[in-house]
Amino acid sequence: MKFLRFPTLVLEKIFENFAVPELLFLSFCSKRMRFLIQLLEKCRLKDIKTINYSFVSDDRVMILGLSNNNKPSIDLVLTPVERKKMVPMGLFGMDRDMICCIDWSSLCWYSKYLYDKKKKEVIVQGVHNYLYQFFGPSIRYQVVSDCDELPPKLENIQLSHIALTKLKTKQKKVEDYFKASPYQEYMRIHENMNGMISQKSVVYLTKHLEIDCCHSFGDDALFRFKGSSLLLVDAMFSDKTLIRFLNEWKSGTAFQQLKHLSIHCPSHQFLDPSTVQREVGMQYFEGFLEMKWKQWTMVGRFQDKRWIPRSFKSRDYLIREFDGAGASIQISSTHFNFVVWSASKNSQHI
Amino acid sequence: MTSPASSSEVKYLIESSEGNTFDVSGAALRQSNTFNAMFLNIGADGPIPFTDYNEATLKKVFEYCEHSVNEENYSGPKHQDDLSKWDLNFFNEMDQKMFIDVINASNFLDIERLTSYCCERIARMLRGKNTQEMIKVITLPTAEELEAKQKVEEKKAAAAKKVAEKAAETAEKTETLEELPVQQLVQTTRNKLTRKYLSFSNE
Repeated sequence: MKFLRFPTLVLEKIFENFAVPELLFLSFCSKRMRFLIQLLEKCRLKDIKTINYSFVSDDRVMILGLSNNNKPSIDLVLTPVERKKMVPMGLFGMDRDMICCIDWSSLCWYSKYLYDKKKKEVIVQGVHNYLYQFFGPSIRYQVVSDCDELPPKLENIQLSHIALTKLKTKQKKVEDYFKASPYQEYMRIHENMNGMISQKSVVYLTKHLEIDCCHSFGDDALFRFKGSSLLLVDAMFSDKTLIRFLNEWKSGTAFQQLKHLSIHCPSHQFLDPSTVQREVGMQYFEGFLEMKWKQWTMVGRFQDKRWIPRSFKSRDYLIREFDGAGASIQISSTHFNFVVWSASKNSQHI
Repeated sequence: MTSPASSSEVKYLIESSEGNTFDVSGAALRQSNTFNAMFLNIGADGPIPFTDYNEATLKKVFEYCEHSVNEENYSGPKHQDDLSKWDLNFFNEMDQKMFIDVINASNFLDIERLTSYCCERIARMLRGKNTQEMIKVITLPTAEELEAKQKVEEKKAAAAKKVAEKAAETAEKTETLEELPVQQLVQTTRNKLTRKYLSFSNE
């Protein structure tokens, strides 16, 4: 049957019978087949907004394609097995010697793949490159890893959630990993700030950064950050650090890109609000100003939006000297919130 | 032949690629959206020419239409498991060539029900197969065939380029030949005018 000679309408109707993971599998047949699927099934492929790679400790890789309504359209699992147990296939545009094959024992055979554990890095990179070509650059690619080793280095990743606390790797390797996809939109890192992230790391160039400092001092992260929103969780801070930060922002010598900063200290009393307010020359409104902003996060099975709405009410504010930009500040013994007015949505006086 | 406002018993004459004609009921023919758009309102004076398809294919397609005349209106594709015995027999008794011809004819005639059943059947042929098996079913060109084809295309392109270059060269030559007499003409006219002017000024 000369499949490619069918009229476009017929091909379209044939493709309609397949689910997206089946179409993906069908695209492995040839480049022309892949182009045809991309062309004729554009709408269904465009419906997928996020591809999420989850790396878990048993070396399995879960790939989830999520559409706008958070419904998984693709749910692929790559399971490591011994090389002997596999029949090589040319999948994901890779050569047959890159051992990767279908798990026929599964009911959803088109979603279960087996791979040679020894070639994890190359195979996962091959799979990602293929998916990137198949779905295009307009969707977001994100990585979630909670393993004791770094996930494979993938390019064009926009969002990451990486735990560095369990790693037994050198700083250089960690930096090399992050350099594969620098300038990410959002990154959440678990790190006890023991030097796993280098001083000039590309991590600090992330637009929206969230670091779980695991009860360690977050000064390094704060003063090296170059993006627009920073959230430091479980971070220890002294009043002096906050005073330095606020004075630097006020004088315009640093943090000109910064729009939001939130610090959640451990449950002890770390900060003394009155000292900070006095030292930075805090100004006060008569009433309260409610600040609303969007805190970035990652899309997942149970999180359909890329942001969580946040707000606080405060009378405290500062004005930046050189351009007159204002920022509202909320400070308690365990929390610190700083939002530049221009970045706040629908702020209102109460 | 028939009038446009025909009842279901009215027969239409269909002409195949061999030039043969045969009867099809109006009710069966009305399942074809192509027919509805082209002939239902304006009518047809002679046999309706569907000359891109042979008689066997057209008869097979209209056999299906005749059978499904009394079925309820089509409302989206039905799963193959829900097909009746007659439907299954209809598909099973076709060889692959006939099956492909039927899909193409059904697509041209825009018979939704038949086209989608055929497409679902193809999808079933591909399901559960590995890539090599799928490639066999849909006879995709192999890498070597593609390479050979590309080489032929490259050769053709190179030959066409040469022809185009030669044509451009000859065109340039003719242009310069054509230009010469014009230039000469301009020169002689200019000389004549100068002479006239000089004679006037002498007078």
